Amino acid sequence: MRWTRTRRSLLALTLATTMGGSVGATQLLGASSTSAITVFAAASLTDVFPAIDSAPKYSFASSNTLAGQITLGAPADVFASANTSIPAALYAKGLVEQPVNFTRNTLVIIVPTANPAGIHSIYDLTKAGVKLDIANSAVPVGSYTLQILGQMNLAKPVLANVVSQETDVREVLAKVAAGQVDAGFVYSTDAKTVPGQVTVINVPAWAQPKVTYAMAVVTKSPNHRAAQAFVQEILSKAGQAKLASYGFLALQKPKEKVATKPPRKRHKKKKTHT
Amino acid sequence: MERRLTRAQVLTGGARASGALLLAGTGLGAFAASADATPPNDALGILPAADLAYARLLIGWELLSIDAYTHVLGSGHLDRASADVVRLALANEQAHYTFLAGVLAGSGQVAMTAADVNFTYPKAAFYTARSVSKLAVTLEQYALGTYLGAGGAIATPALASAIAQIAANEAQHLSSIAIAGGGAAFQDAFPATMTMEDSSNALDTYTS
Amino acid sequence: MIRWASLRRLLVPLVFFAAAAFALAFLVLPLVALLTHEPPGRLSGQLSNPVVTDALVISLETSAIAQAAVLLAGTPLAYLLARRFRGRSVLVTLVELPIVLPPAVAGIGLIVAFGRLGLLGGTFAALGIDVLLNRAAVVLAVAFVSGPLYVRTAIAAFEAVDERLVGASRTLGAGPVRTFLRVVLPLASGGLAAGAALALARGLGEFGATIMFAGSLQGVTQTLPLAIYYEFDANLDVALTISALFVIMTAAVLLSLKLTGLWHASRSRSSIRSATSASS
Repeated sequence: MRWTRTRRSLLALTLATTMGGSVGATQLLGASSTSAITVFAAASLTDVFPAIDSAPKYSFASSNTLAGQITLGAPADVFASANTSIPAALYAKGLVEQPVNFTRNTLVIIVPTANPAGIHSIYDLTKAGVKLDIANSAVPVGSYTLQILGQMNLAKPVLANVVSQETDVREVLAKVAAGQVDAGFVYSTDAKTVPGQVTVINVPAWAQPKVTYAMAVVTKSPNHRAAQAFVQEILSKAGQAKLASYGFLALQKPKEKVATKPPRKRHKKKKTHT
Repeated sequence: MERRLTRAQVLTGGARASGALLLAGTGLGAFAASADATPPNDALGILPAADLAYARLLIGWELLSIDAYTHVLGSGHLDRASADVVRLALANEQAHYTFLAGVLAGSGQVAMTAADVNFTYPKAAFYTARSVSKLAVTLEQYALGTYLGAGGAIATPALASAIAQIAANEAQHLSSIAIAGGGAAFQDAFPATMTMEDSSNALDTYTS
Repeated sequence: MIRWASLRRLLVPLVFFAAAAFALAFLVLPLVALLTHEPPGRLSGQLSNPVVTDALVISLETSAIAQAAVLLAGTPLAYLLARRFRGRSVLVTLVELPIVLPPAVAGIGLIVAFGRLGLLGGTFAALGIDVLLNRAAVVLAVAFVSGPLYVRTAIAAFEAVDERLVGASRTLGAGPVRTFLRVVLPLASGGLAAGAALALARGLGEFGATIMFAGSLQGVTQTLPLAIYYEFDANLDVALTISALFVIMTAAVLLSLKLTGLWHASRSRSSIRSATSASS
């Protein structure tokens, strides 16, 4: 077939219409569909976010790494961080819209199931020769760890036992699960992802930092509607319930009821004489 | 067997300790005195990290005491007189908490509040008057031991003396409750002190 | 009318050179950008940063030890594998495997082999050998990923040695060790040097296996590549400085060893020529 001018221009027109049409269609569909967005989220959300909504493209890493990428112009639509300070810093620079808190967490100490160093409380981490793994201070979980140690005045003896500083919390988890180190600081939700491979030791409640996660829509996002829809999904009742099922704490902790009387069946009331 | 704590029992400590009447009277007197006495100055400026760490631990214990006493009062196992006593003890603990929170604020830190922590108790802790008394004695013993340990470890003199005042108050609580439970008002010449580590581990058993 | 034949004659070399220029630019541009993104004064100011100096010391130390181990153990291995025997191809494939393995796989492999819960973990612990997240671990990781590169090149170098010369040396009364040292090694030195250069450069740049098996702690196990990764989020200037340093360092290594290898090769070739002419 000879490529006459008419045929060539017809082909060009068809191609242009098809491409333009598909782009337009994607934009229309993508307007509120979360499948068109990219979510940059903290490593500790690796399992729960896809469980809430599997449609978006996810990139999981430490919150500070992701913030750095967004600052350098990475194409994210939503940013979810394991603390409130990183999104606040991005908001101050105009890179994201107003952040919103969406869940809370607690820190725990994990040891390999064999527990070679015999760690049973945070104070055991001060023993000489213990190999401790923490995330570096720029990572939220790393800074929370330093906060705990500072609040308990254990920073000096415990930090002397650090053998490695990881770039995200899941690396700490992996090293403890593999038995390479004696103990590590992770979120309680991370410990739940590897049941049987690690033993959890609680950090004293009086020294727990306030661990609040915040998320924000990226200002330069081309899919604002879809990004907002995703944020609403996480804040919805279903989203919050999913987070709770993975071990995350609700934003407002409900007070536990304490039983002041034994259960009905065995209850006996006797009037005593004064 | 369930029995209500009566006014007579709280004040006289049963048939065992005859001197308990005097002590209980002194105890009540001490309560009355502290209600009028001025609280220590909590504006102590920036304190060393070790002192602040202890302050945080003590805040944890105070919040636990406040929570426990609130449940005790709501349990309905106390008669009016003993409830008055517990209410006074609760007010004491709240004053302790306010002071310690002020100390932290003076160093630019935020103290833990009741909303930040959930306390859990042994299963039948509030079922009977006896179990309630037992729980209160245990908690007061821990608190006293912690305060005594803190007194020996805190570097700032102003804070150490305030800690000593609080320790004395906790000892008064302990005596009254011990008597009410049918035990002796006091025993050891040197009540046990707790290390920060032991105290933290003990507090752990009451936090979820 | 366009003369297709002459156009084709012009076009082919043009396209050829354009493709080559494109490839060269693609490879060289990032290196040039690294060295020119920031003014050199600002970068050299970072050279006194303890993060940079610590990482440099650790990288040089661990690479030197690993390189020494690779040369000492890899050379005999390569010499043996250069001969023909049953199962040779299988062994050679096994030895070359770490070259194509992703570094993360190498890292996991090292953990399950030498880690505390690994195959040799118990043995090491019993013998008092500590390779847990310390410099020894870095040396192991670096040696594991760079060793096979050296061995592969060394095998080729030993294979290229003329068997007749070896035979002549033995006939003239030299023992096997003397033959190896005075005849085989000098003849293979060009290839061995090239292999060593490759291994050293690869070892200096190792990241994945190191971060997984040896962890990363400034002043203990944080090598230059690890430091770049960590500083990228914290302080881009430091990351750029280390990257620029790296480019210069590895270029120097590759260049110098290549030149030394060429010099040795030319020397031994001339001595072979004189030797063969004398014996024939």
